[in-house]
Amino acid sequence: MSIWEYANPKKFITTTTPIVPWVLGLSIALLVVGLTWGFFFTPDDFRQGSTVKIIYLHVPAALMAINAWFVMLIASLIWLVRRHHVSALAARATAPVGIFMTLIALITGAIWGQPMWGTWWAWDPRLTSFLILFLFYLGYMALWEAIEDSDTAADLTSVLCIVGSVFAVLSRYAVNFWNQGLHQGTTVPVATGERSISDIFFVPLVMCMVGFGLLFLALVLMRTATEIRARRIKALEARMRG
Amino acid sequence: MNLDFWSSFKDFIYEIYPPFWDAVVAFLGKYAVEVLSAYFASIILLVVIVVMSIRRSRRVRAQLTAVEARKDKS
Repeated sequence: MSIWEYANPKKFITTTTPIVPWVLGLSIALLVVGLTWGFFFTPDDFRQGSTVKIIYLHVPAALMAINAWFVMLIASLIWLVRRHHVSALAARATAPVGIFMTLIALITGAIWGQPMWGTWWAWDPRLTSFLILFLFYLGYMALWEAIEDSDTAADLTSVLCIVGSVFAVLSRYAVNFWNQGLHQGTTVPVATGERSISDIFFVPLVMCMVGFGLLFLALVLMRTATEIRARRIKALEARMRG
Repeated sequence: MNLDFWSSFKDFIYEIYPPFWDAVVAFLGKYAVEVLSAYFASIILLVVIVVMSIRRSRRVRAQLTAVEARKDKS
């Protein structure tokens, strides 16, 4: 069985529709447990006080905001190379989820920054690249809405997605590229595994990260199926008119 | 948004129901409003995107059924 079988819209819908409620349910369960654990059953940090509890929302949301753009990038490249409509529609379906994750990361970051840094916002490399990523999400969604022909829209948004990937990379690695600014380095570096966070905070954090990841997956699958159906409606209406 | 606004907002929140806020502040300390605001805003946004996605999915599914029925008739 090849992965390209799922490029068939019908196959995609029949495969994903029964999975989505389970993934969504599991993600909500993990988020409820992870956030309750983090909020009620973890101690305050000696320096940050209770604001450390914001980490359970900020870190997973920021992670998903960046990863959502990479998902869109992969889907866009598949569209450009192989012209599978499902991949273009998957990229389109991912953007609203990504923008919500970006918004959560920006809002929680600002709320945390006010008492900790003494400012809501700083033109720090990571924060700035994250804000630009947010604007790219807006532009990407607006471009999809602005173009009537879906293939042309998919082509142009794919190019925009490739350009915006620079800022998705910068959002993640800006702290490493420029050793300046207020934002601290990665708390959980996947490459080295040398995390700078105690287990007491790490376990609920991982639970929230997995919860956010599954929520993202469920929403993207659901929204992609919706985009496929919306495209079919357009095609049927055009056929009936003609 | 400046610090004065944030202080006024905190005062406003505290005045809604003081006994509840006393308990919250006892648990979360001086950053209670910040932590609760972050959780409140994030949970609202998560609920909005989930509800929006489910509602649009149902609406489009119903539309497709209607269009397919019209196509079969014609």
